[in-house]
Amino acid sequence: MKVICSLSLSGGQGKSTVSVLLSKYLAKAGYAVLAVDCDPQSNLTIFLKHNVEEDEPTLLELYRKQVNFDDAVYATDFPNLCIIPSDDGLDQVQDYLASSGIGALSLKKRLEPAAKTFDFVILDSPPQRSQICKSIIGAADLVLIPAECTVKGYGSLVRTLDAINELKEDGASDADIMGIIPFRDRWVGRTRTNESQMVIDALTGEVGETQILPSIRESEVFKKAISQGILLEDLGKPDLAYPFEVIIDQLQGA
Amino acid sequence: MTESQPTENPALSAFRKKKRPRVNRDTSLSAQDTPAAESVVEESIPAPAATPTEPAAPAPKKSRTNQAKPATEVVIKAPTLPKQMDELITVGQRRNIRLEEKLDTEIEQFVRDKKLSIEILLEALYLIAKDDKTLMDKALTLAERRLQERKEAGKLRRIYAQMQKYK
Repeated sequence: MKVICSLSLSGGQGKSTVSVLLSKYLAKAGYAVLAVDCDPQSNLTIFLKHNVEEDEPTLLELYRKQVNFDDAVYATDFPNLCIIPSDDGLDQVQDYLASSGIGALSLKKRLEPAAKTFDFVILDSPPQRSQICKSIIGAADLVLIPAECTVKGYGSLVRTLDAINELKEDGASDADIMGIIPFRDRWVGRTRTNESQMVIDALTGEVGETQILPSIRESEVFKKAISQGILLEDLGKPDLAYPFEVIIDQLQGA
Repeated sequence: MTESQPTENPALSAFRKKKRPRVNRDTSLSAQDTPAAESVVEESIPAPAATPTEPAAPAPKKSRTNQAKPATEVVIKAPTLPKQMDELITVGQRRNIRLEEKLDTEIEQFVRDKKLSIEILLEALYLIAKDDKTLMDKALTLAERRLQERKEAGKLRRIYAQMQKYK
């Protein structure tokens, strides 16, 4: 089992887009996939069309060891794809993690039973440096960092790398950075815009060319696919799935 | 990547049904401030690690991601709130005011230095003058003169613009 997190310490960087589509494409390729919504904003839960009943266990109760792993996992409508959902209540876990003493390792521990059933666990992270983020970095084997092709995206990458390095130096994380995914890469016709090119050059300067994955283009098709719960090819745009094909190839080769 | 729809992994079907323990979770913003508002397991079906405790005192707020079944909610109303709301200052419609250029700069700087706004200053000046007849008379005399000056200026500008047209 590989635990992959989609991590970026700013909003609007494409974390949920990557989480949703990577989960679905891995599931479509036949892998058993568990998507874990670690963001109290619950975008992943919503995009995977899971309704959180107020009395049903979520990630919050799993973090607190109030339920077993199996009780927090729900099948989605998409074959081979399950979810541990969240809702606003997840915010309450911050204090628990801060006072537990093993905050950075708690999610890793809670997800251990997933290895029996799942090939991949995809963690969707919140956009803040928080206890939840620490536990995500602590649980991840691989980190994907989506970064918007804007100055803000570059800043977000720098902050995210700092946070990962800090936890690795403390021995709280073994995560490897799988790659950076430039997000909302704008092209006009066959030409990439100056802003996108400038930011991608800056991202490359930060991590090296080998760690820059194919970009997610600026396109309404992504929004439509995610909000309608379908795949990019269902909207007649299979080419836009190329970044996910490359990631899956890399995972299969790993 | 294949185009065909994948078949369900049988090991995952177990997660489709499942009778799960019921929990009581408060999703309100204030829940983060009170330890009593922690989510708790109400009914534990074999969950060895679970620690059942009493439900939290405040009624849990329904999850916003739950759009399937609207449930009845206990809404705690603050009875004094509507009264307090009635007593709050309300502001009228937005006005577009234009001041004499020199005064505009001067007043702008003045209110900025005092950390006020032009509207607030105008309100305060009016409220003071209203209760001081001498001051109000003085202000009105000046206002009437300035009104005449503005009218004169407007008339002259209009005539000048017409003359330019017929040149």
